[in-house]
Amino acid sequence: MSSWRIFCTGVGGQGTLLATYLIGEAALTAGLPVMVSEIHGMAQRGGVVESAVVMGDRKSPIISDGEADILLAFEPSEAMRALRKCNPNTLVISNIVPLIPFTVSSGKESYPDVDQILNSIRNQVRKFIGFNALELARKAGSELSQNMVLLGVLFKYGGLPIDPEVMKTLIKTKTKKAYRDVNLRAFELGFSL
Amino acid sequence: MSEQRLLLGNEAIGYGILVGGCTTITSYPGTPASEILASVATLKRKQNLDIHVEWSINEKVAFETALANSYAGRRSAVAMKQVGLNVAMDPLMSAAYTGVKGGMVVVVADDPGPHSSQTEQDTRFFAQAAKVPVFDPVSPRDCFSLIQKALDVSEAFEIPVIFRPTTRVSHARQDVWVPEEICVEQKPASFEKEPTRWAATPKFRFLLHRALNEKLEKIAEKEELQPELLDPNQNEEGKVCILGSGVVLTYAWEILNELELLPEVPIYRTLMPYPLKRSFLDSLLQKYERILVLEETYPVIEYQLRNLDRVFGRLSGNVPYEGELLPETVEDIIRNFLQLPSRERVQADEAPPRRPTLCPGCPHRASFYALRKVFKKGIYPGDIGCYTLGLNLNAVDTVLCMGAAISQAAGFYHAFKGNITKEKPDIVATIGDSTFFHSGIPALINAVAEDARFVLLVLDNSTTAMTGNQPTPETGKRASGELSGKKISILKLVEACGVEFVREADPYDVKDFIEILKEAKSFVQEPGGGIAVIIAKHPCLMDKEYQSQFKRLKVRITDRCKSCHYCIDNFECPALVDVPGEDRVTIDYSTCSGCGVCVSVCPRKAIVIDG
Repeated sequence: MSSWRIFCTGVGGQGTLLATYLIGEAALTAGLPVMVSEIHGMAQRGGVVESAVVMGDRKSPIISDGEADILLAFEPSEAMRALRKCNPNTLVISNIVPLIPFTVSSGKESYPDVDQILNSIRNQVRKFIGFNALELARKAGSELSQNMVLLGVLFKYGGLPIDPEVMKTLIKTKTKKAYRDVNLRAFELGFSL
Repeated sequence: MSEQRLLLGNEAIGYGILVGGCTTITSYPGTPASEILASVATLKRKQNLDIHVEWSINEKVAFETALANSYAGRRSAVAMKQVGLNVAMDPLMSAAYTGVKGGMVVVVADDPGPHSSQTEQDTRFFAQAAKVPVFDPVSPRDCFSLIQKALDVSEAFEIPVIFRPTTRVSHARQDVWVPEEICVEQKPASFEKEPTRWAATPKFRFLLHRALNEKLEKIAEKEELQPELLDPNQNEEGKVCILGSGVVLTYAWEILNELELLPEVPIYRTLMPYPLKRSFLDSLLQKYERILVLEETYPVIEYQLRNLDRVFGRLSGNVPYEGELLPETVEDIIRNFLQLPSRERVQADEAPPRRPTLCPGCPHRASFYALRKVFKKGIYPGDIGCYTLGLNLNAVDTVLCMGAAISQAAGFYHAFKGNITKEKPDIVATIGDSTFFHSGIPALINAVAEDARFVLLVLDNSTTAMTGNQPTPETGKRASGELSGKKISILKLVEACGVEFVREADPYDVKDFIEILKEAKSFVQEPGGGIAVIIAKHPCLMDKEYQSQFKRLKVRITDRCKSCHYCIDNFECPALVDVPGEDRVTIDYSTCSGCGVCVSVCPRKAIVIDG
């Protein structure tokens, strides 16, 4: 059996853990063996949040450097930080809207040039898909639905052996009631990218 | 009927505990162990189970409460993070001697890295120190079944056992088959009096110790607890092998699989890394030319090998003594062990660092801001919780362990009291409400009795926020959401500790809060003064109940803003950002909580509330 290893990265508060959880649930529904890896606790408060979904016949819940089939990045500089997980065959799906870290806001660090980041990633991987997830999320009805936009793009281009309808059903049943319609719209906007 | 669910390792442990027949389950929250009791509490509520589930005040109390249930012949579980075991070590050491009647499993989640802890101590080492068996799961699925085995061993040998997942197992999710409906076997509670055991005096303790040693020898021999091949498809041929425990073996499997070396290098997995059977270890040494030992974080298995000549591990200098054994590290170790060239890796470009920060609207931020306004120079002992992040606001100087802020504040006072240089800094300690209950109270009584002088802020957000908003004794709520009606007042407790200056105030009212801090400062300095305690009371915004009552204000930055950065530097709210090219600070409305506290912070009054 082949396997799929998806490395997800973002910033605390962006909903990366919900997204990884939903991918895991989708794999379960599709009957694939699945493991998801999360880090909880202090890192969630505005720090970098990295998680992983491993589907198929594997034993380790985490993804080693250079071993990701897909990198799902919620923020461009985090995509750059996570590039160590990629190899020349990796598909990178990334939001292109920066979230400025406090270290930059307070003038201690500088934020790299976004176009430069994206080009550098593009040159090192099989395929790079960058898009404005914030804009699509706003269109869907809430900035908080960026994670659903990313899921939509993942299900369109990721080549996962899971029917996108499975994910739609999960969004309808497993996300907060008040956000379900927005989430579904966001997923579809991502899916039609 | 069984169902397949995507469970966290900790949730699988929760299921295992209940299917294993535990009727009392206790815990104190702490990453990476918090979801264990949370999942048990949820199952209790959803399936209406007749069991006792509690968030205890601390790990020692949790341990002793669960232990009594096992004295009464019923099965029990207690869960904590690794540093929690330090607090519960006292009862564990003694309980190993007395043993139990009903099975008792002590779940202790380790945190190699560390990701969210002050140490990366190895609980298996503590198990050895206490002389109790320890089990090391490799995956969530393994958690569910192995913990039931651990409970059987505990009951069969009348000994408490430790179950030790690590962060990567506790916080991994996997598809696990679990029963849809849980039936917890209810044994009658009966306590057979046996003073030479349950209340043993030193004379009898010697006998109990001997009995304990005999139990351990028998447990080590037990057939179904012997090490096994991690992958049953592997064979035991080959000249070298890997021996170890825990999740790190799954990384080894992936690496050998990639190198197509699975047939040549068997991986032996110890379900129970302590106590190991002597003859097993000897046979391994006989069979293989060289053995690589992979385990986190201390050389527990390695120390049990009698002959280390052909052993590749920490003691031979080939495995790092500190830090998590990440797959990349394990690959380097394995390649070195197998004398293969090391792997080339791409170095990613540096991205600007992100540090964790208090949430937007966090009442602690307001408290720290006021603290720094009034006490410009001083020593600020801090404690364990979200508010450790007061570090970012330069309002936390020390973080040692639970409750230490208060004892250290007293210690600093005594250190500087007769200072020959006459330097007497202000001492301002901060501690959260849950941490105050956990171990702050004895420290406060002691400080009062020894006439220390300092200001203490109890940051009371009425919850254990860092670990996922578990209830505290103040709330009158219990683990499964039931209301006990028993609310314990921090104010009254502080008064009862002998503190004469106690005020309760809302840090959101920045001006008033600052005035109270000034009063506290003079009280501490007065000849007849003492310790001043301010209870900074405002609910955590992550608390779901509070969210529904919280009134969001619409905050706006006017053109009075000269982008002086005072708010960003001194208040550090993630919603206040400096966007390049803008001539004023910008509010990021997607993160702004609408608390409005920043209005009081701006020296130019450039932040206003609309409407």
